Amino acid sequence: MIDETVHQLSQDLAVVDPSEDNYDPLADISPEEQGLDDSLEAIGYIGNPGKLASKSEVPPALEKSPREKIDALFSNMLPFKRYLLSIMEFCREPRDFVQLDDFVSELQAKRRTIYSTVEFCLMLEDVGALSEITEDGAPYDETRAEPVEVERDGQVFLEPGDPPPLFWQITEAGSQVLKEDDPLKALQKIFEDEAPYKSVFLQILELCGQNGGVSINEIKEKANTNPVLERPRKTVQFFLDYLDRNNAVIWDDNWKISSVGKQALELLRTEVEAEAEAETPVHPKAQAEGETR
Amino acid sequence: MNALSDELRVELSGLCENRAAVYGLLSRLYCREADEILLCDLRNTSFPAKTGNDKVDAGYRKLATYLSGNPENALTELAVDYVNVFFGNGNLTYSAAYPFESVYTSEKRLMMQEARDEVLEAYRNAHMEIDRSWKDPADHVALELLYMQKQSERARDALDNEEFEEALEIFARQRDFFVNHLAAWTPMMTTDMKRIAKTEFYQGLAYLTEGFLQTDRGFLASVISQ
Repeated sequence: MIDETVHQLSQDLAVVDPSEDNYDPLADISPEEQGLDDSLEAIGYIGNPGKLASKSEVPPALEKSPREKIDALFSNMLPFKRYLLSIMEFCREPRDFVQLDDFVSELQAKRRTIYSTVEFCLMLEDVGALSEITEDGAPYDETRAEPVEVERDGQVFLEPGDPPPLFWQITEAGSQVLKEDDPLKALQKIFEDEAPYKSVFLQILELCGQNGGVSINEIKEKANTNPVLERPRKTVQFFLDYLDRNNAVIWDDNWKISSVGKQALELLRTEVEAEAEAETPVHPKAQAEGETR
Repeated sequence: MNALSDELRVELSGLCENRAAVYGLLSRLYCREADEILLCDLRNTSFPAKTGNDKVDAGYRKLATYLSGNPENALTELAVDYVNVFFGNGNLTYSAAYPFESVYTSEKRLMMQEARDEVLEAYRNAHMEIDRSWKDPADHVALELLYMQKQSERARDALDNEEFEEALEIFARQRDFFVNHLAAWTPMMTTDMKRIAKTEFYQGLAYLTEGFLQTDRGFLASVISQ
């Protein structure tokens, strides 16, 4: 039995002479082996990738509405949403590059970003929030300058022409987004979603409301000790970011409360006081006296 | 090369000067993305409209057309397209017009292959050395074009000094480099560029490169045979 088993195994596992092994795992497979259609013309590449490229199927592009694209941009560029909205607001009137550049420079005076004016404008244009127009309001692309033919010493030369002045203006989709932008409502939603941390938001807003604002170290010192931040462990920076992105606080050499932040503070104070009152246990005698009255 | 008449010598020297200028422009455009200084210089340039080569004419026209557009967006747009064309935005090996000879002449489309060693040898034989600030492989198209620019300048100087044998040697060296390297792979790269480039600037560069190298091949063949 054992001999038979060994004999069978030796048949199954015949030793391969390495010199006879022609297998090369890195070798190119010929088109015939791949079963490709020989009638397709190569376009001059090593290994004819042109054949393979022509067989690939590109799925159709997903069409998104300008509103969807703008929302996606804001979602991807959350720390810069306020800059983008401010630029859109500024472009309610047609603005040329110099005006826009000055505006963006002022926006970034206290907080620089890695993005230039052109980059912000191109982002907004790409998603349909801004459009390029001429002085007359016509779409810019249709009036592109052509090179000028100039003759010198019997030879004709092409010289780049002067492009018409370019302006940027907000589109309808962009105007709709501005109309629906309600930072106070967004803040209220955040306070609801992060209900256990309302006291932290309140503390930060009150600190930022001080004369001259407050530094991050002071916020950390005073608010990080709030017991609600212990489990799960969170830091005040997390909540400050929420307030910053929703325009409740601004950085101006210190963290300062904005007008939206002041409104949010009042609302939050009222809510927190109402909640504290609702939770306060009433003494039975006081309750009875209240009922008698 | 027998002694040339003064008129022919001066004409040939002028041609070498022009060739060097075009090779230099092409090298700069491939080397890195366009900056403000380059765009400003190009906007003040007069591009020949009728050179006798359709591809060169098409290339210059596309460049001039792009430069006639709005200058504010150009820097960003060109930086994006430069990366798009030469670095790609995908994992596929055909998602960019990689500007390295090895990619097009090696079987597996890899960099740093035989071509790179060969061009290094060509540079050394011409007593040229790559600057330490250059971080890319030696077979980058910008370096190969720069080599042709430098050789064209040497040829011009040799002609100006009536060193005809020297000039002939330089033309022969250029012709060999052209046939063994530039001509062997740049048509494939420019085909890819035309497929991938979104701006007329880099489309124009592809046409200009193809057309100019065609013209220069003819020039080198003609000047050596004479």
